[in-house]
Amino acid sequence: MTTRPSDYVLIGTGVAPLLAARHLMEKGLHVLLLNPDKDFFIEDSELPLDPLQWPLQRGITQERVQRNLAEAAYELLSPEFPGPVSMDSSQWGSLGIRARKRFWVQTPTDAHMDWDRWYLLLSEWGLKPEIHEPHWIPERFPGYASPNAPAWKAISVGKFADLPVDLFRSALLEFVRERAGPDRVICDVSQMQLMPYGIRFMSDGVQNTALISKGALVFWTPRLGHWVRSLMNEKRLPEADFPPFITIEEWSLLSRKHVVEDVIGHFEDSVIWSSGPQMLKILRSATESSAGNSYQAIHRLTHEFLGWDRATVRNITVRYMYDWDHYRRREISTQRASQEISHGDLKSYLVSEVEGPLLEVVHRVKRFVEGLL
Amino acid sequence: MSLNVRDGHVDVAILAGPRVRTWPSIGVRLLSATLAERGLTVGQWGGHHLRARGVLVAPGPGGMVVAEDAQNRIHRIRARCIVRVTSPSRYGPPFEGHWSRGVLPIDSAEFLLKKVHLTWKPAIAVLGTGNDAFRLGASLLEQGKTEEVVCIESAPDRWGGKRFSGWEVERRRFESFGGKVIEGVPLSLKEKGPMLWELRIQDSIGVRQMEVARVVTAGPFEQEPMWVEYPAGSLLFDLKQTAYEEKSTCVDSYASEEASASIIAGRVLRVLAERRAAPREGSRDPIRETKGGGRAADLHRQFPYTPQYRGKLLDALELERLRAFEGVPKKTLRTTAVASLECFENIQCDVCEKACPESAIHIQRKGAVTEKFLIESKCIGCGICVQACPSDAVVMVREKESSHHAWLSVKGTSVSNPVQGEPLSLVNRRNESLGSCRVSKLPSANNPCVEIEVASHLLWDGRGVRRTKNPAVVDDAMPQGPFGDDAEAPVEKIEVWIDGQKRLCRPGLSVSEMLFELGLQRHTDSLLCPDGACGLCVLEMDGNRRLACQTPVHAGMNVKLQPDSEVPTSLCPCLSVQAEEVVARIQSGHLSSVEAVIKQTGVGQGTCHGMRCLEPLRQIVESQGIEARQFLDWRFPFSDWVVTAG
Repeated sequence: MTTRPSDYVLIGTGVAPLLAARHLMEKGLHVLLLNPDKDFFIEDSELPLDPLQWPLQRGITQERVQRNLAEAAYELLSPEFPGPVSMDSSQWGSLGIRARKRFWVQTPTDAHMDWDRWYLLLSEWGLKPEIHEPHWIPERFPGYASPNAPAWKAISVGKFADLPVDLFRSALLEFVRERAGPDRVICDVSQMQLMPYGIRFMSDGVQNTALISKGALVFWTPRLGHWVRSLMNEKRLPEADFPPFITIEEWSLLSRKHVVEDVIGHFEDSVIWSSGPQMLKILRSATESSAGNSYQAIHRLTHEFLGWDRATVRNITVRYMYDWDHYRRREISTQRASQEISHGDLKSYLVSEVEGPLLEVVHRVKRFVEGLL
Repeated sequence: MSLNVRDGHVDVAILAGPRVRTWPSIGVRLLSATLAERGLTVGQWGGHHLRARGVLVAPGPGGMVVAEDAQNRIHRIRARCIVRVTSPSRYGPPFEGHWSRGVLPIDSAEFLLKKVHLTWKPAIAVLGTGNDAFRLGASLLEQGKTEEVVCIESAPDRWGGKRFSGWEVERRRFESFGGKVIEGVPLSLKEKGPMLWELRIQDSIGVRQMEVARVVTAGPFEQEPMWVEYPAGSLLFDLKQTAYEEKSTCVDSYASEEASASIIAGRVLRVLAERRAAPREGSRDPIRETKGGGRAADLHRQFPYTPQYRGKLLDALELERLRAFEGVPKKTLRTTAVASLECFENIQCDVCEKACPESAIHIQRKGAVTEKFLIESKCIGCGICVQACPSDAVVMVREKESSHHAWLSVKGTSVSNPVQGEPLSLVNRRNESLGSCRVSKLPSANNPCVEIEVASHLLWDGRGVRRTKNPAVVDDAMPQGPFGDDAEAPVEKIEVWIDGQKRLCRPGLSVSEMLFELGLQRHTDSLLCPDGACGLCVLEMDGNRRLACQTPVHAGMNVKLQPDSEVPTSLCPCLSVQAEEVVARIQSGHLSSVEAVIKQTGVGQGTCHGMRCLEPLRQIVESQGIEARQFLDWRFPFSDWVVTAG
């Protein structure tokens, strides 16, 4: 079976191919989306917020920090999102950007961190940071229940964005499906094979061939890793090591008291925020899933800092993502964010770094597609 | 104080999921023994002292088991293969009043029947027609707990020509105690009075109303897999625990769990055992055993046997068929009492064969098909097989040529304290009275059966006895009511305070059980988790919030009850997600996987971690054309987990 010719075929499992499709369709190009997963909701590698957990980490630049500010997020997303974008997260039917302060607490274990430098940097970037004395902490930090505030300082900056990823994804998918046509968004495909003028794949047990006039764009997330490997085996991509995995844990803890909702807290290497009146979310990267040091970190946070007598875990979600920072830092490969795939006369690309904080994904895909066109 | 976290590694981790009643059950024992015998390292995590908290799925095969021991130490065990043992789901498609306190899952009902003095009268409706449902119904009727039990089959077409899920012999036994099986879909359940509910059922004629003391949900409501590997190739297995008791009392469940465990063992060995050691002599070879596909447990539905009746008697053709069966004696019965195995279906039960001391019963398995033979010449009429059969499908028969009488031996417990010559009422396989008969031989040390003299033409129809309603021959001086050991000694009750009111209850119960006994249970008490897994029954007791199912009552206890303000009508009662919302979300978002539906709707992400709503959700999702039978929810942890420093 041969489907209608397309300018581009987009292969991916997450938000990135949907975003790219939206951009390309806006330019009048025909796209075909292929997803090896059953639908676009199984991919779980986009984060609602940028952790920014280690303030002076390499890769945390002025540009990146500023991109995460609520106003900047609004400006970035307004043209991207196929519906109204609002700064009110409770507004029904629109993409509500939640604006919350970031609140970094300086703990004794962070002694090696140059907090004064971090404060100066934030000031230089025009973010007007505030230094909080210990007695301020209880009122501001999500989940705080201790009667005795520790003698730790804190720096706060406002206001940063966080986004409802699923709402963003479903609205975008609905838009793309409507504009491109339901037969142009195909899930659960297998045996994808690049051909000189198209791509061959299996869908619903039927062999299909799609003709392509411009190229194929492959958005490399961990769920697509095996297919990227097969492209390397076919010599369509230079043989290279895969980036190592980074484990991101998201803990959901039940709080006995109401959790402050307008602040995203940073404690050691964890990011803490409220996802409901009595639900505390904690995001942290770990060496492996449910690592021993994660339990220690959560214990220190809840017992020693927040002052809880016990921590009730509702859920732990583990995401495996590629550690692109580490990849570049160690120069494991000379790979760039996008890499050409050998595909006859067609211009096909492997697009990487399309998982992680949603705003970063939107920014990278936008930059890539602008470059492509 | 810091947390004590320990690491470990095994090839195969077998762990108890939430609400598992028996640990380790036959499936766990069989898996462990078989895999360990072939050189794999196997670990078990379950029971009160080593509770598995959940599984974290790795990107490749296997994952990590997190468990907690009695000293609150956390154990992180990496495993190449994980087998999670879970309790089968009991809830069916939701209807109005589905989550009300009048509804009990069958596990809770069985538990309460054994332990708690509960009102089961005037009637009980059981949703489901599996063997568990029939057995519960038969127990209730046999013990005289209620007058009427109705098993309701909502989707008879799912079971083909059989139109019900369980074994014919179990249905026969249930009906022989007076139980009824009807086809219909429950519409609503409304409270009508104290411990009295009105159940409305839509059947082929119209809407039928029943007044019941409670409704028991006894899934599965469709042929569900007893084991699943999800995602495919991940070596992450889920094994349904069906064997709660010994084999003699639940043969089907036992055999089903055993068969599923064998299949899992075979699969694991194929992948993990690089050099497969030869099985020891006499031990099982799961790879060979599982080549049949493990479908034997369901074969009785493919070749159903449902006897046809003409009035109260078996149809002539049916009788001919019955007497031609290899398990039914042909000649010897004219000279001596001999066993008659009236178990015609292709079921995986071999209790009688194992019990027979003379090897007169032979069960032959040809692939998945089972044939039963009686070697008449070997049968000595000892009656052990009659006593052993859990489904009452074996009787002893004796007839005399040219005599108007014949003799039928039934289980000794069929009638309590029989008296020689006592007139009884002979009943057929559906508990319909066929006329009178009398006791001719009492149970003895050599033969535990009671022999009944019956009219010879009723020998093949009468399969049970009941005491007549007007026992004229019974001595008036005989005490009525329970006898001897069955008589209950008066129990001293203790005082507890519930919402400021003094109540009396028996000691030794948990608070949940006490609430059931007093008729004060809430819908959130219904799961009665053996391990407190669902976390729904939290109550304030003596000023502290605790799980009612895990807290024993004590004299002077002060309980603050939060009665049900209103019955949840939603699919997911913890988060109030409606079934209509889920369907709308699936349709508008073109969702095509269960993961997506859960992520988009939040169903099952509340306090009970999906223990109540995931099965109804699965049914709704399947009705929308999404494959959901193989789906496993690997979210971590199984239930809310309080992490405390060791």
